[in-house]
Amino acid sequence: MRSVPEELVTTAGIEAVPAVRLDHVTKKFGDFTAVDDISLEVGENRFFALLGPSGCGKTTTLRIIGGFEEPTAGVVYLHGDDVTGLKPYRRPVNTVFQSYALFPHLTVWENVAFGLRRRRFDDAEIRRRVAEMLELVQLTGRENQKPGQLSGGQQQRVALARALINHPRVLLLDEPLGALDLKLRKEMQIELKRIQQEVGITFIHVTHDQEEAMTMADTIAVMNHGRIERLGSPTEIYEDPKTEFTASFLGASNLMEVQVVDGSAGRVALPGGDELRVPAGRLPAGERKAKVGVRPEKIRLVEPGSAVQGNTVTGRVVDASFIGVSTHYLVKTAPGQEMAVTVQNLEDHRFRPGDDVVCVWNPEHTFVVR
Amino acid sequence: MTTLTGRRPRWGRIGLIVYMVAAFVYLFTPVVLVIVFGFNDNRGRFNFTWVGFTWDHWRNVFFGETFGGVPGVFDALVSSLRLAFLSSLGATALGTFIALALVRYRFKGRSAANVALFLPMATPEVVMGSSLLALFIALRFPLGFPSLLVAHILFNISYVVVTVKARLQGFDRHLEEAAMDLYANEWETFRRVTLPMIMPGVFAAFLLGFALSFDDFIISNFVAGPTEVTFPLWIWGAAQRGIPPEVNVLGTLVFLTTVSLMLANILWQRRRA
Ligand SMILES: Nc1ncnc2c1ncn2[C@@H]1O[C@H](COP(=O)(O)OP(=O)(O)OP(=O)(O)O)[C@@H](O)[C@H]1O
Ligand SMILES: [Mg+2]
Repeated sequence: MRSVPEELVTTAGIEAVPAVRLDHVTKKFGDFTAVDDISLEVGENRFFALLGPSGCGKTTTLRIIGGFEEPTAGVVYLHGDDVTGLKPYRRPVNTVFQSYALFPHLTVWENVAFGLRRRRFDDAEIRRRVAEMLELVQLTGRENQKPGQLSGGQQQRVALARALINHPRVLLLDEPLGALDLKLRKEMQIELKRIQQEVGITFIHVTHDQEEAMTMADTIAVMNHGRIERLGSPTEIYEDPKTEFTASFLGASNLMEVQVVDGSAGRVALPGGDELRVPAGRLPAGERKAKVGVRPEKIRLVEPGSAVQGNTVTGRVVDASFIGVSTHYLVKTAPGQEMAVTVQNLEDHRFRPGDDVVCVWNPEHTFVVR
Repeated sequence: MTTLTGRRPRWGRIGLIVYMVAAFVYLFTPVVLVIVFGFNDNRGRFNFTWVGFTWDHWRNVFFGETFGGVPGVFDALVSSLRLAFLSSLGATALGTFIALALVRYRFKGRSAANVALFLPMATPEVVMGSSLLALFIALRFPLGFPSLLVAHILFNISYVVVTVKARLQGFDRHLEEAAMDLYANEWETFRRVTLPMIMPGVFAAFLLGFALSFDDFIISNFVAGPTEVTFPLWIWGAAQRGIPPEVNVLGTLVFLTTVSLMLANILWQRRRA
């Protein structure tokens, strides 16, 4: 797999013209603000994911880019051109709809050929490209079937082929895998990623599944209540989510209220007095209080009195559950405060409920949230 | 299932069959009589008692000198077919777009429009016929084919709108967005996606309008004017002087045509599904 250097992600599109740029885009339905002042840039050939819970405005954002919804305020740029107010059929983007929206009265072949026909390509060219496209999505031989005769996964691939055949410069995908069962979903995730790398066009993929977003995308925008909470590469936003919402949306995390002892040195103290260290620069300047967090799988458990380095918090095991690849512990660290810890089963020794333990983790893995 | 029904008391089953047969006899006796009396070798002006079998009236209709030997019937039939075709076509075109607007858009006066469209169906035909006549006379609108056409389009529109609306209700808006996404403009989207998808509803609406118009007597009687005679008006006139069996033959032909059109429509829809 191609890995993306982190510094490239955040600066992508600044030198080059971004494939998609939203400039302070807002969409209101009556009094309700579905998209709230969003600005973002998606660089050329990126796999960009819009991730967020149901109703956060992902589909609306995508529809604004596709031209199905006019923003109440703000400007949409595609490759530097202002396309706000342009009809969908005048935009160099294509969409894979959440419900696929295949034309039920047309065959697979006619569905895939639809866009080229509207653009008056000649017949030989259309036939060649449809055959090529059906080959890419492995549907050769199904040309004359109607969408109703296909399985969910096959329909999904027809929808993809129907959009991709037009060589759009940006492909919009609205939860294209939502209707598939888990196994097919996993297969199609890999398949989509393969196709994106093969055809080399910008994908904007909407999903509410954080695992899907992290598997496929090279940049993720986490949305909540119509705003972008966090934008960055999967590792970046997972390791340093910056907001409480992002931290919990992307997986389990242990959050702790702390007092700032020395902000510039990254020193903070738990209510009990134990001191923790945080990577310098993560603490907001001038704040007396802060909230820090650490992921369960970053924590090790050791017996009290062991010589260890890093952040430590003492506690007592209240629950231990063995789940095969790892063991999940719940450690009570202070009255009313518990930490979840996930430990790989590398050693035979396991702690039991009631054991006194020390939770240890690398200060680098401590993040600060708002 | 089979063992259960097998053990049921026989009388229940027999009763059910008798009831069913009786219901169908009741429904179809008039139709059968119309067809049968087209073959009656009748005496005199009336055709109410069975005398004997003859092909004469059928031969008259197809090979008679003045089309059935009955003056005016051919013109009346043509007039009705023309009226039914044109009025249903006009009503289907207008009604389809009205239905689209009512289902698609939220606009001021939308619910008022819905009620207004329902009114012609609820108004008694005599009331509608007489007020239309009054209106045409007040406007000095030419009575005859033009006034018939306007009147028939008017009462057909409501039925078309109801029929097409039912078809549109389950229509997935995303299909039209998908078409626009694939470079089809508004007209191409309608032509390639919306219309083909609602076509069964539109076609059914056309057939319904055709049948309603072809069949209409009361409103036509008011607005037809002195010279235009539709098929139902002609039969009405003829019946006052005695009914020639050629009417039965024509009725049989109309009935067979309608039934075959309906069957064709059903088969067509089945093939599409
Ligand atoms: N046409 C509309 N009229 C009124 N409100 C709307 C309209 N479209 C969307 N909304 C509202 O805007 C909000 C965002 O909707 P949107 O479809 O963008 O959510 P989403 O993030 O795609 O959610 P999901 O994951 O459930 O698809 C929702 O609260 C929705 O009710
Ligand atoms: Mg959505």
